[in-house]
Amino acid sequence: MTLTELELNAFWTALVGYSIATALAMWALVFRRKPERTLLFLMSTALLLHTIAIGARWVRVGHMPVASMFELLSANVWGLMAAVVIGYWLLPRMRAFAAVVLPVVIMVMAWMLLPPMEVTALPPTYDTIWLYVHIAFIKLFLGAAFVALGLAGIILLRAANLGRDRFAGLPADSALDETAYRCMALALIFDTLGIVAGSIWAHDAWGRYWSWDPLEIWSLLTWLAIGLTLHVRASFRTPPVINSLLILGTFVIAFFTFFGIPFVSTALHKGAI
Amino acid sequence: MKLLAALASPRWTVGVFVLLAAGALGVLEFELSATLAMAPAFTLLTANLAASIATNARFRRDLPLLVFHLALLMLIALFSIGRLTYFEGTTTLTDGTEFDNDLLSEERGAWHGDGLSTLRFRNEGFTEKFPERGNLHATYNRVRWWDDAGNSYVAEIGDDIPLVLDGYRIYTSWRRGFSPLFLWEPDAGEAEYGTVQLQEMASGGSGFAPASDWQLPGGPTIWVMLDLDNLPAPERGRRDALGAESVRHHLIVRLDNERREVLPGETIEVEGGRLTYAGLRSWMGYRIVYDPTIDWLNATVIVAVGSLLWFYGRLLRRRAATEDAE
Repeated sequence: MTLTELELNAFWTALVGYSIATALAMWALVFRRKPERTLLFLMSTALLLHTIAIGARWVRVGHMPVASMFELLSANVWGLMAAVVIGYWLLPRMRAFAAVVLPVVIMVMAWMLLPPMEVTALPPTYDTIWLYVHIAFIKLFLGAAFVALGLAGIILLRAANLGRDRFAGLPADSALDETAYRCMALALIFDTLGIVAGSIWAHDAWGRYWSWDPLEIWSLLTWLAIGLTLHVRASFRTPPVINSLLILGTFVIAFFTFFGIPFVSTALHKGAI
Repeated sequence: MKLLAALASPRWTVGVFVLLAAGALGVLEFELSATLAMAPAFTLLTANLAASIATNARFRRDLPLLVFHLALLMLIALFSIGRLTYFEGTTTLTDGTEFDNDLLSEERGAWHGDGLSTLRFRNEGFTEKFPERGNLHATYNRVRWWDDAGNSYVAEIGDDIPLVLDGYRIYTSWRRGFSPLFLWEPDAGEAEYGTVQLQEMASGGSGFAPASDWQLPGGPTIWVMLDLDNLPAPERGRRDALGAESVRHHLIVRLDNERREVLPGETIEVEGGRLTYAGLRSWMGYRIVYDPTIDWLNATVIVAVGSLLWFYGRLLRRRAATEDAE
């Protein structure tokens, strides 16, 4: 089997696995079943296959596959799924959050299939260890915020009287809110580290740690949104519904930063190419 | 004291977040000056943070929280100092020539000194390497520089690899082009060499032929255009100095209404002297940046991130322990 064949086989099997896992999570929520071990196994196996696909592509193209739109979306799908698997494993009492966030993964996955799977070159300035550090922290940030989004989604659905019975077996809103807060605290730490790593890289490579390009500005807005969410909760003791709305708003901004800016800006970072 | 207490209100902090976001969007959408757009938010943040630290007992009880907010204050101070002392400029140098403080563009903070005048470096040619795929290529430019004792060294710099001299970071830019070398022998006076930096070459040598005006020292102004017989598109692999030494070409020199075609080594008579075309060279564009606050910023960021980890790490550990106990 060639590397390309390995990549494609693993990739498509992983996508089928993600799709079945999403359907299963939603079916379990609607029909109040708990196929938790099956779901965890399915998601983990699909994630492993996706990892193999990305690894095969990495070897094939000779650099971390984060250059084209397809590669960016694939890496983000991988990061979001990794967060769901870890959250699913670490938060056994709150596993219903997966049914809330997995449709978002499916949406990004569908989008990922639109651009060509072409092989493109990384700019020479991307040949640095800081690229890996920057991307790793940003993936961790997005993952932590994604789990918080799932928990916030349950609180908001309950408040809207949607699926209240189906979420009845879950901990109270206050407990979900506490866990979401911890996830957002982690998100702040990882986002800060990601931005700092990016700034060190930018200063080293281009002499400016901040260029005010669209992606940098939106990453600042994302950081401010996380900071505001945490500050409001800590200072005003706001109820879970308000905190959840703030988390939702923060994720929308983060989502636009990661997935919308590539359509606004011609380069990942203006200064980078 | 009442004013301090009012300024310390967490409502003001919410206002700061909104103001910072508005400033950032102003830079993005309306291309406002970042310094001006962010100044009101940073001023309010400074007042709010200082008042909070002074009046809120929680900061005295919670060391990591205090350290994080002091680090934020320090960052604001460093950003301000950075804007007052920074420098950013561009220049171009023909192969074999030294930097003489002639800048194409420059921006500098009000407190920036004249350290630029002591910079001494020379362009000694460049090589471009083209990858197997894509149009993005790497630049390797050899630059000679001198230390205070007069010893000279050669560094290889590029688009992302700077030469750092006295805190100034010198990078190559994407601008580069051909530069014909002439010997100008005036009827009266000493002969001297001079170069004309022709406009940048479009990628692959397509588009208009590069041309420029040149005022001969003490003589008339000539117009010079490079006519390349056939500049091959960059192939995979390497290319030195845009291929200046090997490309077949001739120059078109125009003086008033007179048009001449000149090959390397040929001499033409112009008003006031003789002009010999010595050969084709290349020129490279440079970006020079300076920010003396970088090391302080790095140290402060480490303290800020460390205190953030301390603050939230403690919170996460405590809650995890509580859940285990439950």
